[in-house]
Amino acid sequence: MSEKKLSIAELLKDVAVVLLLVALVCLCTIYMLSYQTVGGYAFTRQTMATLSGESVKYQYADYFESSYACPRFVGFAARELGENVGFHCLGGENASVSATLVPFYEKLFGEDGSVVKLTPGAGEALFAELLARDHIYVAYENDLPKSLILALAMQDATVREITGEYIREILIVPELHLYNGVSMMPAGVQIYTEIYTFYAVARDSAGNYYRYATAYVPEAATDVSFNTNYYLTYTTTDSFFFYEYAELLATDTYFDTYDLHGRVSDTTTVLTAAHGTLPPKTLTMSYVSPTQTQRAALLDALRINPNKVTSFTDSSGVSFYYDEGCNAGITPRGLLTYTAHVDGGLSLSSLFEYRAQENTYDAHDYVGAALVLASDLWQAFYAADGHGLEMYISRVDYDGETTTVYFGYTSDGLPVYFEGSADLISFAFSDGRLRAVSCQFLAIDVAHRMPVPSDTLWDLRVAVMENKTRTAYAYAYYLYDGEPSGAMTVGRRTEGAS
Amino acid sequence: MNWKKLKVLAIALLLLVDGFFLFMIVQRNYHSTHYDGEVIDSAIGVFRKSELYVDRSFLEDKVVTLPVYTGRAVSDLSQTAVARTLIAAGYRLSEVSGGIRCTDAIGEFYFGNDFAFYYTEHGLYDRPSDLLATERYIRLTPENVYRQDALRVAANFVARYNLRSLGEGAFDYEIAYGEVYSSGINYIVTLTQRIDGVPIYGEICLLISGGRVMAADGVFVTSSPDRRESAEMTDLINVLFMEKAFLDERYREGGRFSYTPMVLSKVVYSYAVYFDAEGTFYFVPLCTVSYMNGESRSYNCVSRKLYS
Repeated sequence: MSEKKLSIAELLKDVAVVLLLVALVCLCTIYMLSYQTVGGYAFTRQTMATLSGESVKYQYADYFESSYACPRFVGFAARELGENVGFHCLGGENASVSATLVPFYEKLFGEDGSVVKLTPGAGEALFAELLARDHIYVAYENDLPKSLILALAMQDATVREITGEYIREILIVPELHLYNGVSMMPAGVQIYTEIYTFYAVARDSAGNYYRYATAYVPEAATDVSFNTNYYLTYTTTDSFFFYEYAELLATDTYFDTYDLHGRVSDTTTVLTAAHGTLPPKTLTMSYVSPTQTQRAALLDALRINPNKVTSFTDSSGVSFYYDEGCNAGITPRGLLTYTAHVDGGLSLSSLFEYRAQENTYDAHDYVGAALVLASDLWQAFYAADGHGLEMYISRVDYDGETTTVYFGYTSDGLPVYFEGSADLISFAFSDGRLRAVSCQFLAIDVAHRMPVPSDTLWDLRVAVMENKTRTAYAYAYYLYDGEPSGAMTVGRRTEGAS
Repeated sequence: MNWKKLKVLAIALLLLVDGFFLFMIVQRNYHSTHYDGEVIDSAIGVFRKSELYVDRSFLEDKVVTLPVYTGRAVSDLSQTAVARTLIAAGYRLSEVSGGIRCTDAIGEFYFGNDFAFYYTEHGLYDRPSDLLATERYIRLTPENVYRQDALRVAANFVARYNLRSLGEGAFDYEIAYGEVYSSGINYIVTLTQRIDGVPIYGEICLLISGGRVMAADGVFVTSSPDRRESAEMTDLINVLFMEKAFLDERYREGGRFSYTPMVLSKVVYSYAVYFDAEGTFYFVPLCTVSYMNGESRSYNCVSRKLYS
């Protein structure tokens, strides 16, 4: 073999040795690494556990709207300026007013806040003292769980339990003066004002008082803080009014004339001057028997197939529907009832077509289910025309086993009282199932609008009172400014048969 | 010393050692993705004590590992391709709590934020999935001519309303048709969306009558995922042990004298959809075990809990 070929052969052998050595090193490395534990997973069992809980909540998210627990009244008191500015009808153009409370709620009622229950005496004294100073006063129609108020206001918070504080009135007040500096108005305009930290005192109808505090300290101009100019800028809406509290007024002949002392509390608002218009109108409400189409839609809303159930109508006109695990009834007066059998009832997992990992449900699930069902029933009966009525959560009860959610109606943001009660729809849940429903539907007409001089307002609510022989009327209470003081009702209750 | 001979010896030795390590690596890789024969035998023996019969072939296959897909659900459903197609076809779109509804004179579609879906002609109440749960529908064999007709009607429906086309995520879906069932008058076609060949749990059922689709319901994912993550996923043997525990519990609570024999007939992997509170969706692997007697159960492969 020639020398050249020999040298090429030797070169190839050298290259082979080198390559095989490199391969050996690589294979050894791979072999040793194969015994080591690989890096962590991006999606772990812990991630899954967290996701399972959130996943059910997501399905209710769209139904948790703030309008279901909108404050009936929000007032801003600035003593130094001598002005109290208040807002009723907190939907529509005044929706921004209730939205401004959300940052305060987040700090006071959320995870960063703390709560202390006050003794009745201390709470009452503190509440009265704060009423006479600068504050933001918020009043709901009824006692509601604080956690539910927060969940509906923020729409991304959850309410785990219907326990703890029920509150109806809240005073948000300044605590410590930090500095004089720049704050941001809702319109984005910067103003120079005094900046304070804040805390809140709340109470329910039973006289329980709570003090809410937060460690939060505003630092930037856009941070929520208590400052006079900030909240008074909401006079930019067209429907505010100046008010005083009944307690702070001198005794008025109106209260004596109409014997209203028993119905006046220290925080009853008295309108002293109005700006813009309030919506005076008369609502005519009556019982109505649902049509066949409405009946089928109502049953479908309760996930009962009207084509598959056994039904019959008794001599008084009440229709009964029997399905597996439950039965429903519809009266000629538009009362829909649903009753689950012992182990029956619509399960939440079928309502949302989601199979829960564990059969544990918290208040958020039940309130969410109630919102979904209420929305479906409303749509089934009223379709597109609810005559300006909307639903709101009037009450939530929990007796340790059953969670019951009640809904009422509002007209222009004012709660409607029918026969003295605001609870017109109720859903009872336990063990992940719907156990009972009671739903009263009414036919509503706007009879006519009366030109009412609304200079002074004592208390505002819509009450529907039914006479057995006549349709019902709605009326609001107004207090005239001037002399003599008098009450004007928007509608009248008819006595006797026509 | 004869370096030349030494080099030849070195090459031979290195080839031998390299070959040895290569073999060990391949073998190790195989063992990490397949069950050992003794483990299989032992597990099968344990299962048999609970009257759970598992053929070796199920456990001899390669161990399945699936990733988790995740993405952001489209916030405005009216902007999805399917909604735009319906609007262009004359459907009236309205937003309802939880989703959107598209209606015309004949019927309506509903698409939920949670990927719930149904279609129905006006006045029809029964959902195809409910009908399928009754015993009135039987499965048609592949060579049945009516099966082909029903599939054709279903495919036209899917194509006409653009149920194939989705969002702009990194991963897209394919539509796979499943079984066709008949009641003698009507037909139900089942189909699923698949991602990388794995179906989404919750098939879509189409009710066909008179040559047209009268109703449909199921899970229809309107957004594509844009991320894939490695998942801490349990394997089939552990799923079967969970199944064994379920059968043991059922036996203890049932009060019967003996177990009901359960012969495993099918193992299917799919993806269940979960949402977090911010609207991000996750496709999490499920393992569904089915038996000869028709029973089936699904387990979440990450949480290791019974899913359905």
